[in-house]
Amino acid sequence: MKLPARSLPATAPYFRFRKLEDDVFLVTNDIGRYAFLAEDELQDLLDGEIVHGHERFAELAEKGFVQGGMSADEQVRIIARRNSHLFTGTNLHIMIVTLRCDHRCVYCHASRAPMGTRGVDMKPETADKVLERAFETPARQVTIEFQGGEPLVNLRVIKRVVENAWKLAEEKDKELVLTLVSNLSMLDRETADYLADNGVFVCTSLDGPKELHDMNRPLPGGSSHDSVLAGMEVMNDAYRKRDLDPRMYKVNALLTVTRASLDRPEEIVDEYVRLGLNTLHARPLNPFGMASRAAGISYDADEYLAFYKRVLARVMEHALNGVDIQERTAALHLTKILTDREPNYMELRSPCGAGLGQLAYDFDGSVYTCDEGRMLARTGDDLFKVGHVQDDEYRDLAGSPVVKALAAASCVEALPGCADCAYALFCGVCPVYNYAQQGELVARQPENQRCKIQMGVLDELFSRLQNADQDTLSIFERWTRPLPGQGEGGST
Amino acid sequence: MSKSKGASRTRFFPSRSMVLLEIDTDIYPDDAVMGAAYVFIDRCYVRLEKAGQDRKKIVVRLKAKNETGRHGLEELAGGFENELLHQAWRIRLEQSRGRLREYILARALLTAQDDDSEEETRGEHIGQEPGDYLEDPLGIAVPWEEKFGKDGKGG
Repeated sequence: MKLPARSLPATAPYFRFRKLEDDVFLVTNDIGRYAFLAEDELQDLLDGEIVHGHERFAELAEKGFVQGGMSADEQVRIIARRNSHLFTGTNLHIMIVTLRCDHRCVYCHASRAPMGTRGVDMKPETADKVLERAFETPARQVTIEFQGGEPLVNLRVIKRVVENAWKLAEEKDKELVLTLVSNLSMLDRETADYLADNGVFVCTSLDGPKELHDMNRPLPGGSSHDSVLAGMEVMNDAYRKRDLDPRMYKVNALLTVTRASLDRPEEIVDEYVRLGLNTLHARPLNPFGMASRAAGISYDADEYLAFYKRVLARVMEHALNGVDIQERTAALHLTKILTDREPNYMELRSPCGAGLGQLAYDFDGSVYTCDEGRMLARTGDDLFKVGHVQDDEYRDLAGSPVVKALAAASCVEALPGCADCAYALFCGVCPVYNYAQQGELVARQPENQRCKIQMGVLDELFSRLQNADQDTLSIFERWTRPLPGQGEGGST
Repeated sequence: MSKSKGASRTRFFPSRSMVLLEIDTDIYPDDAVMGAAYVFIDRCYVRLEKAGQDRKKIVVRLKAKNETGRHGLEELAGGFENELLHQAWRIRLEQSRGRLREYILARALLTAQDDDSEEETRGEHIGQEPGDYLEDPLGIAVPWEEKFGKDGKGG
């Protein structure tokens, strides 16, 4: 292919491209539209020869790749919609109500403390301050996500926050979303009823069939798998009894992938289907907290991608057979590819959600840009701490120089390796990951494992889109519909 | 002892755990060399010197903090060159895309700091009717001469 001898013709607005396979190029633009072109068609686009009469003119004009289709006003409106997160404010507030946990997961991201540890539960007065800060946000919607450790260890504080949060939401005319991330081992019927009565969404962890799950998530004196299945049943039963919409009110799960998972993607997906789960959210290990120290469970990006492609293939197989299940990573990317709606998932927006979309409050009232920053602090590096709930108001926290530095380092439109990437509008970076893996906030993307994984996932999705039949497209479109409490503006 | 790369030269001194890289500042701006050198101060003692007849070259001396052989020095030099490219590309992107990034960040930071409700903010910036901004209520698009007269002092 030849580059044009002079600057691009006026009929060719800015676009990015990527070679997917021989004679197939993906082109994307700043309004998030995409098209697959053969090499000679890409050459025509570069040469300004896609005009009235060209067989690709109608499609490319409608998508804004050449002039003569979409108006400038419409393009401005699309860009505004796709950047709605810039107008949202900090809506996700992650509360670490305790560090204590009864599990000893091999990858524990959250850097747990043993159950007998003292002084690692959030005190009620600290929780009150957290809530005060969270409701100082200009965001119309406030999401409180309870995490730990195992948050149900500190149920007393959770109940206090839930009750006060509903009152504050009414007083301040905010929309409230409450989410609990729990291993469910301590969930009894009474607690489940309480959570259902108060509209709390519940998310848990399920790493696959019993043997694999129990290997990843040891529970001293019992089986974590047995316990999480029992917990899901109790919680879903409580939702059902209250006639709550089962598409919204149903326990969903995160899948953390270890080396032991790599050979078993089909079994893992089948386990999710067997248990009636509607979402499977595959997540690679990250370099934060204790996960970075766990020997023998990690893998490289290529190994993860091989696993992920098999997971997606199996999920699609079930979905095409009528099973209501989606893979959440794919769903988030597809929302950005197929719609103009910004799902506001913190790791996939530009700039990232650190401070501007989320804040993480540790058990002692320390506030971090995000949960990743907090996890890093558990290993002794508190670079991403922005203040303390007792001393700093929301404005100070969100306006911290740390937040500004992370925002500048995660604006993909101006980052090396991202600005010209065909996937720029469908992706996002995590400066905390970059710092943990490469020692600086701005990644050297060609050496960055997270980038490699995102690129591989997007290659797979675009390859599937290129070859999609109507059934596949229908499934992908269904996955883009928002599910309140299941990651929309959240971290899970 | 040395290898030539066009205008650049890299010389290795394993007995002194040291490598010298000659950087052409026509390709890599001074700030990129400085930025890359700074990234390496945890691994090396770093010194920069101007060189060449027209002082258009910078010699970077990397002296490993721990005793290092030829292989280790090659890794240092290669790592430095990659970092140099990373820094140079960042500077160039800053020049071409810096303003765009500033607009995006300003909007995000303003929202996060805004005392107004999100609804009001959205109404002001996104929810407006298409084409409202073309109405130019502040007269931004009115030519200077028309607004203030030809002498620029008011008309």
